[in-house]
Amino acid sequence: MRKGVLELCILRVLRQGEAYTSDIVAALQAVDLLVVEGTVYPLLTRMKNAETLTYRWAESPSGPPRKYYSMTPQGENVLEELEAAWDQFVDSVNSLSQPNQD
Amino acid sequence: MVETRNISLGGLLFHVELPAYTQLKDYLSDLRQVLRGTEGKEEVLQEVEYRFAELFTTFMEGSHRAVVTLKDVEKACAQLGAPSEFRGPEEQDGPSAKKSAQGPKKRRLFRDPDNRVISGLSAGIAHRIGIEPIVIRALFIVLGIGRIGIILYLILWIFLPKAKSASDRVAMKGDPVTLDAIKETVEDQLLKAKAEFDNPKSMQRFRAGWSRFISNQLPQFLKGLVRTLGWFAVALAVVLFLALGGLLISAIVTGVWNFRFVF
Repeated sequence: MRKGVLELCILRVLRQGEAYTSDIVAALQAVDLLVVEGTVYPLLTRMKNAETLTYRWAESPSGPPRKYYSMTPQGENVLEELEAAWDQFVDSVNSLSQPNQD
Repeated sequence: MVETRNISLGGLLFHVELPAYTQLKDYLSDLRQVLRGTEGKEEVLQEVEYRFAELFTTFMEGSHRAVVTLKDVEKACAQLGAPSEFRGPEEQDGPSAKKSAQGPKKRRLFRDPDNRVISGLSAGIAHRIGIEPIVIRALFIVLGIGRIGIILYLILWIFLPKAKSASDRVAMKGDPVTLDAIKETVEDQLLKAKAEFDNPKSMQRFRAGWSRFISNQLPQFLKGLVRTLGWFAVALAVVLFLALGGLLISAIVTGVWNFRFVF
């Protein structure tokens, strides 16, 4: 799966509110978009550095503190762009399977 | 009975059985290798450590144990995925595939301690431009008669770093730095160490180098020679510049043009 799509998925998950890394991973795994966690970590770091995301540390009932990610206003713009690109992509691919009407 | 190690992960203390400890350590060092040069590497590694800590805590609480076993580590690693998964989807089939299609990655200049006669400088330069070390050695000997080669050699010896780690060696020889390539290099070194043990005469190495050179390096040699000469012209210019600078300074200080100072 390409990076752009994964980025879009992460942003869609975060649109529903802040989430901690494993929540994001679980959400993606639940819909069969992701097999292992490893792929997400570098992507989250990159998106954070691009200021699409931001995070805060939070105490955890068990184990070490957790990083909770949330979307920045800039991230919302990125999400909009990605969704537009995604819709166009899906339309293009779908139009191929429709019978020619001429 | 199993020996354990105490480790700190994400600020928490864990007792880990020795085989599990080795596995975890290998995983993290492989991951470090995979992430080399990627953005936010330390952050990702930290996050992974925290994640391990969290998973282990969950496992321990779930089964009322106090010691992390190999099974726990394997389970956690499976959940996180192989280190290569961290490279991200676009790098897996994108640039790396393109790079190999465009030819080998640009090599870096190191001294090669595995092929050294004096310091491994000649071998390192030879790797960089893709010819046999013997050619560079011969050039240095020829230049060494006029003493400039000796000065040049010493200067380069001082400035060029030695290829220390496996990834340095891989970068020197021009293969893309991947885990597999590093493992190959390590295996290669083991084989070489063994061969050296069986056949310790360096004169034989010298002869083998020559015959290999004559059989399959001649066309490459000509190309390499042109590049080498260009490279030496630059180095020579630098040395002459330094020497003339020294001459000028000595002339200013002593008031006499002392050419013997240079040659």
